[in-house]
Amino acid sequence: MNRLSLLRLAALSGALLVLSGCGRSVSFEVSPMHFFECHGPNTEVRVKWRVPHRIKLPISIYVSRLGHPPVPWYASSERVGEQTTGVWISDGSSLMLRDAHGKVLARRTVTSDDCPKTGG
Amino acid sequence: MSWLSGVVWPSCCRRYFGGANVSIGKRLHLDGVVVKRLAKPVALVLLCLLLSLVVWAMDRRSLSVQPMVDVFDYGFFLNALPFVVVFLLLLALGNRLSLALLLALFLAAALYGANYLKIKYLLQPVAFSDVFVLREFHLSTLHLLDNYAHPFWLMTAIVLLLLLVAATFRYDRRFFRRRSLARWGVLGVSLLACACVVAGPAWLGNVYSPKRLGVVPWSPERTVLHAGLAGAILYSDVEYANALREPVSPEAIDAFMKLRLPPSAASTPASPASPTAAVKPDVVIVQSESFFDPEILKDIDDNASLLPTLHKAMTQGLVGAMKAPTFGGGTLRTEFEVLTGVPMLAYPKISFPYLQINRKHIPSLVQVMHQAGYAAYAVHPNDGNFWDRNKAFKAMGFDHFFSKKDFPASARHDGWYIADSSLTDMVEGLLSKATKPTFIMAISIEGHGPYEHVPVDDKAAWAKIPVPAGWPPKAAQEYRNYVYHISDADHELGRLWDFLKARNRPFVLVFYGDHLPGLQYVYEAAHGFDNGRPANTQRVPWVLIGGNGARPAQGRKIYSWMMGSEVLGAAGIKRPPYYALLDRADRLLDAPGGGRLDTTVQDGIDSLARLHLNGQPLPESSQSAVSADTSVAADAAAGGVAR
Repeated sequence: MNRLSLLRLAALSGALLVLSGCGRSVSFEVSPMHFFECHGPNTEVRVKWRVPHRIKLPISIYVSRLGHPPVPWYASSERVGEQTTGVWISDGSSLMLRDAHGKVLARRTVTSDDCPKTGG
Repeated sequence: MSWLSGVVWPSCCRRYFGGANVSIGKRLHLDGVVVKRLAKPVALVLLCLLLSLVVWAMDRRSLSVQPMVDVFDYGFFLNALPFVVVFLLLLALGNRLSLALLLALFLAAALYGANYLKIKYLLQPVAFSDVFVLREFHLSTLHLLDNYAHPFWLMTAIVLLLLLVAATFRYDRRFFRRRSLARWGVLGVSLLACACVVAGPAWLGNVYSPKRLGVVPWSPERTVLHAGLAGAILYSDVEYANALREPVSPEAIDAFMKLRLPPSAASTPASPASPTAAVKPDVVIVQSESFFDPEILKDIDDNASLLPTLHKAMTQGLVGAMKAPTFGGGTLRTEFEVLTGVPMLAYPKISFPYLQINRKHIPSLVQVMHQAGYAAYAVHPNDGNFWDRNKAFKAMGFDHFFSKKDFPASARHDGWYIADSSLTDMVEGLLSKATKPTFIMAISIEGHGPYEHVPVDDKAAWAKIPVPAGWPPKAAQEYRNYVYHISDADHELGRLWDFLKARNRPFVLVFYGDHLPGLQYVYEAAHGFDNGRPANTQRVPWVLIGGNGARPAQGRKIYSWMMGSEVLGAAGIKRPPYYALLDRADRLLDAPGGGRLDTTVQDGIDSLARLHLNGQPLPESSQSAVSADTSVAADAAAGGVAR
């Protein structure tokens, strides 16, 4: 088998791996992901998760302020769920979905902008 | 375009595209010469984009945030620019594509590795000012870094890099042909870009503008999040280069020096607080967050019961009015003026002095106190990195900066932050342990807004705060929230005053508000201020207690940049030349009709401040002017005796 064939085989395998993962991957949604600081520097966000059966439960959600170590916020034995944070999410706050072993499955970072000025 | 012909890729790519010495241009030969000529520039652009993406991924990883968050924002491109320039420069110099890419990536990895470690251990990102550490790189620096980065992995990375460099030299073909014009072009452009970064021309400030980059002045981490680490560093570099470039006007200095003090305003040769005093007083400055006297509001008549210490000081003639260079926020601007004597007006492009003046040494009141034999401490119960105080206070020369981490976990909180009572505890503790005269700069935070909704410890005391009839509920609530916390500040002033008196040691206690608060409803509800001027032009109270009555504050109007000179005068410490000139400005403006001289004095001091901050000698005329003032005072004193 020459080098070109090896490369083609690797590419094909990679594509198959990616495709096989579709539909069974971890889903972790945070909403909103971006906000304007019109009502202060903090906001609350809605967090939704869905984890496939291969992931060991319970899952946990950690929160970290920018530049600070993450701290646990929520844990659940449900594969699908949603939860709302308090008004303490600020610019650069990250939410991490972790499995029972502490492995980070997904990470979302919320960002903000100054409140757009209205009028003149 | 000679360099486009005979395009040759590194060996790995060459083999993939089929056969040795076959150029990509030939392999993609769809339309003859055009495709062949475009192949290399297009590939180069794609590589630059790839490099930018990899660098951004490293940046996000070093911050431990979501991979590729904010990708393709303005900050993404500005962050990539220096790496792309380095890549092109190395390519033009070495003429090896893989080598240039490898070295650019290694540089990025080193920077972001350092950033990751610095955030992990010091909770702050790499900053432009860290270049000062590298400037003094020696064994102890290496030893320090050794604590954070494992030497084995560091050595492995270096060996790997050297092997890769050797391999690329062996196998990588030349990218440009000999005597290629394009190579010179790329070299010229990259060198020009490097020169721009070093020189920091004014137009670069528009490219690396704080608004476009999303700079958050009080938070280096958030600035890096928006601008990328390299973007944030270059922003600081450009700001540093531009903001301090203010011209010194010899004419303005001359005009200031020519002003003559009336005899009544001149300082006598031997001031009441003599520098030869046997026991040096302890000096405590309290910068109180957002403190002002609401009595200057039209609707507020008497609040002596809410601010009893301030009113007690007023009756003793110890209170004046001070113009702070900020309103509603920007505490560090007032702080900077007090500690350095440099008016912010001297540097109109500097909004946040601690962040924009990246200097290892900032001339300050602290050094004057040190020279007079004092220990000097700063105390502020907030994160030491906030406003970059850790760095700024070090540059000013404080022996130690006690920030939030130095306060006990049980420290009392009131409002959003640590209470003023805990700050007083810390100041008293430091003075109790002092073995020599001590200077303390205490910066409070309890009174910090927002005030619409703020927690209060003592709800009964809060409810008792009188509010003028007819005020809307929101204004009433905001007023009570604000006054509750400044009442605490007033109480702590009284407590500190009592403590200092009880020590039976001479002392100088200075207390002032850093600015008026940004109240949303109160100013309107109160129908404005007694003097009819807007909120952002009002003055804050300043209190000077002790100092043998050197020059009582009584009703005197000063600028916050005069405070250092006031403190030195009250403590009986000989003023260095720059502070003697600040004293001169103070007396000129305080003299009858002094208000007319405001512009001449301000312009003169601004230019002198630029010389002072840059460590340049003050003009000889300044010494003569101060001497002349002293002679006037001596003559006046002699005349007085004769009469």
